[in-house]
Formats: sequence, structure tokens, C-alpha cells
Amino acid sequence: MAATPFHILIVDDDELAILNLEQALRHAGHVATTTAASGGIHALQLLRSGRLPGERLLVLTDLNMPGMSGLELLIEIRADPALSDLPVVVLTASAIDADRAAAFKLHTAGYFIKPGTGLHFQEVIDFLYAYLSTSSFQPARAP
Amino acid sequence: MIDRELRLLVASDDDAAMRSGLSGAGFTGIVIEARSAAAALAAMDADAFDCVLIDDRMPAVELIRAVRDRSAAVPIVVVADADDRSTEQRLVDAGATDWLLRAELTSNQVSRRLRHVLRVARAEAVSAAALALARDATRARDEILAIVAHDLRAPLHSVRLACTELATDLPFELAARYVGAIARAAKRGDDLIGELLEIVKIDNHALRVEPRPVDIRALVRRACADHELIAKSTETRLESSMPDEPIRVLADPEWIARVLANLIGNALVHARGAAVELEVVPAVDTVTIAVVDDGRGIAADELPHVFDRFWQGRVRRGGAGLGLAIAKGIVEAHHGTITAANVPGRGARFEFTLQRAA
Repeated sequence: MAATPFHILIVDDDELAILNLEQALRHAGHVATTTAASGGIHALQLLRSGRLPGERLLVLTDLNMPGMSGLELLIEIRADPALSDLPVVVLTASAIDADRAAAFKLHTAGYFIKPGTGLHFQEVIDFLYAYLSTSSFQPARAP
Repeated sequence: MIDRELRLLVASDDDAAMRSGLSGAGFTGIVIEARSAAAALAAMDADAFDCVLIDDRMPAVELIRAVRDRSAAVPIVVVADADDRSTEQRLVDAGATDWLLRAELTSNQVSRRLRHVLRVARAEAVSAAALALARDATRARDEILAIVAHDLRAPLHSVRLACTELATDLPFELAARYVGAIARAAKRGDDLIGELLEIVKIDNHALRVEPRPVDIRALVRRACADHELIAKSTETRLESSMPDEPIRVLADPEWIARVLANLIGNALVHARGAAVELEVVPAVDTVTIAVVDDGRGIAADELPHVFDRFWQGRVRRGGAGLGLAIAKGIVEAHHGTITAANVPGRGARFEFTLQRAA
């Protein structure tokens, strides 16, 4: 279990998906804050604004979004020296192999298919805990 | 008379009998004679034939197989010496369509058999094409179903989750956010079904447009105003350049507003904060309305597909991908054309034409 709570930036163009995820994370505990971005461009703005916590921050992003997709956001994050170490987890409806491969090539920490019928995000949340509890979790450098 | 345009390949080392049979049959099409199997195959490689006539005194079985390898559809008729089951079996097994006895090689027989064989071949070709068309249609429908099922299911799933949350004791403010989000998710689903029904109408040529003279500038102005808020939220500059005098076109205002909304919406998504400009350019008989953006443009290999339904480019960006297909259907129902291109130094340019009103 992660001893210190962490911060999550949720990137999704579906406001209802954001609300549901925020609630699930709230129920699960150990999350200090959640911030929502409606797409890749919005997420980058937030990440570069300095308004998000510089430590124990994790990005949970959708892939299919208007404007800037999740994969494009990942490319931008990895290319930005101030953000390149940021842990990013993909949570998408896309089960396409090419998407998964592309995401891992960009060093995504995890890749989850949005639950089709299940009514909980437990698998995702368990993974986030496990991930954040490992010593390999490097806090992102503050912008 | 069989058919003037037919091309017949005759493989026989005894041309004379065949030729007399054919000429007696009134066959005036093009006859290519081959005295050996090799010559026959060379002729087949060089040209297409409506029918191949093979003499069984040649190594017929090998030749039939070789012809079949080259064309699964061409009718092959064999002229055989013996009328027995083993001959029939041998020829049919090799791939012959029909056979006739040498003793029957009278004009009447050749004519009748060829007519019959060609009629069957044509019917087979027609049914094969129809079957291929039906298969393509079924596959396209399955693809559409898969996408629609996904695009409808995702918001429904979110709504279900939201309802379980709403059933708990939520703070009023959060509950209100949930209700608002549920309403918008329901609207998206409703809009998607509406778009699908429009596509069906477009496919069936049942889209009812009632063009009447309107000033296209008013429609463009209203479309810009409708998208001002969205443009602002993505920090996009939405501009228009139009002549000062009224430009009257033949348009169904409601439908052309949809075209403009779909094109502007598409540009706002892909421009990513870069400027989007609308132009109205009058010509003698037509008026061109263009939506140009300063985004990254469209990849060359994606350009031919932008008006395909459900096409979203390599990266799916949300939404069903029906907007441009619907815009195309509406413009064509107005007897106009719609095109997409990249503008050097800028992004993508979508433009459509409408007829000028008198």
C-alpha cells in the first residue's frame, strides 16, 4: 500500500467518465487530489502551469479524444524534459493492439481497457496502488 | 447469329472441321485459332476470351486445367469423340463447362451449345458480382454495427455507473453535476442515432432538401456565432471573409447549417487552437464556401477517405466520424460538390459549392 497519498490528473473528454473515476478513486482512498482535464491540450496546459503538485503525481488518460489524443499527449509528455519522467497510465475503450503497443513504446506505466460491463474500477485502482508503492516510482520533477 | 462481339479461342490441330462448324453457326465474332496447347495458353495470356473450344484429340485434360488456372470463369467447351460416362467424367473433373460430340459438330449443335454456355457464364458472372457486392455490404454493415455498439455502449455504461452513485447519499452539488452529465451523455447517444438515420436516408436518396434562395452570408454568420463559445473554449480564432453584397444561393437553410456546423466542428477539433477561417467565394453559376484551418492538415494517405463514414484518421478522436459523410450527402442532395485538400503553409481546406440563385 502506498503510505503517502498521491495526486491524479484524469484526462478524458467524457465528463461522466471523469465523474465516475473521481468517485471510484475517492471511495478507494489514498488519493489526495484528483484534477480533471477534458483533453490532451488541456492536460498539457495544467501540467505546465505549475498548479499541479510536483510530487506523487500520476496521469490517467483516455486515448480517443478530440484535438489531442492520449497517444499524442504521451508523445508531448515524453518530449518535454520537465515532464518526461511523469508516470502515465492509459485507461481507454480501445482494445486495439496497435494502440497498446504504441502506448507501451511511449513508456506508459499501465494500459487498461475501460470496463465494459463491470461496475467498478478495482483492477485499475489496485494497479495504481501497487505501482505507486514500488520504489521505482519516481516523483515527477516540478515544472 | 450468336454475337458479333464475342472472342472465341479454338484449340485444335484440325482447324478445318472446327472452322466450318463455327462459320455454319453464323459465328461472326473474333476467332483465334491455336494449333497446340502452348499456343492456346499463350493466346490466353495475351488476351481475354468469352469462350474456349478445345479439341479432345489434343491433350485436352492438361489444357483444360491450364486454362482453368488462368480463368475460373471462362466457359470451356470440349469437342470429344466418344459419348460415354468416363469421357464426361474426365472432362468435367478437369474443369470443362460442357462438351459436344465430334459427330454432332454441325452448325446447329455448335451454335446451340455456345449460346447456352455463354448464357450460363454470363449468369454466373452476374451472380458472382452480386454475391461480392452483398458480402461487401454485409461487412460494411458489421463494421458500422461494431462502432455504433461501442459508441453507444460507452456512454450507457457511464450512465449506469453514475446511477449507482446517484443512488447513494451524494452531496447536492455532485448529484447535480451527475444529472447534468447524464443528460449530456443521453443527448450524445440520441445525436448518434439521429446521424445514423440521416446516413440511411442519404444512402436511400431519401434525404429531403428544399432549396430556396437565401443569402449564404447569413448562414455563415450564424454558424460562426453558434461556434463562438466552443472556439473560445479551445482558444481558437474563428473568422470569416465574405463579399459585402448579398450572395444568394439555392439552399435548404437547415441542412446547409448542418454542413457548416459539421465542417466548423471538424476544423475546431483538428486545428488545436490554430485559426479557423470561413470564406465565401462567388463564381458565375456557383458559390464556393470554404472552411480553412491552420492545423496540421490531413495526411496524404488519409485524404481520399475523409468523407468515408466512421473515418477518423489514424487516431480516433472521439465522436462517431459521421459528420463529414453527412455533410457530403447533404451537399450532393443540393447538386453541389464537396472536397478536402491541404493548403501549403496552412492546414486543411474543406470546400463545397452551391448553385447561385437567380
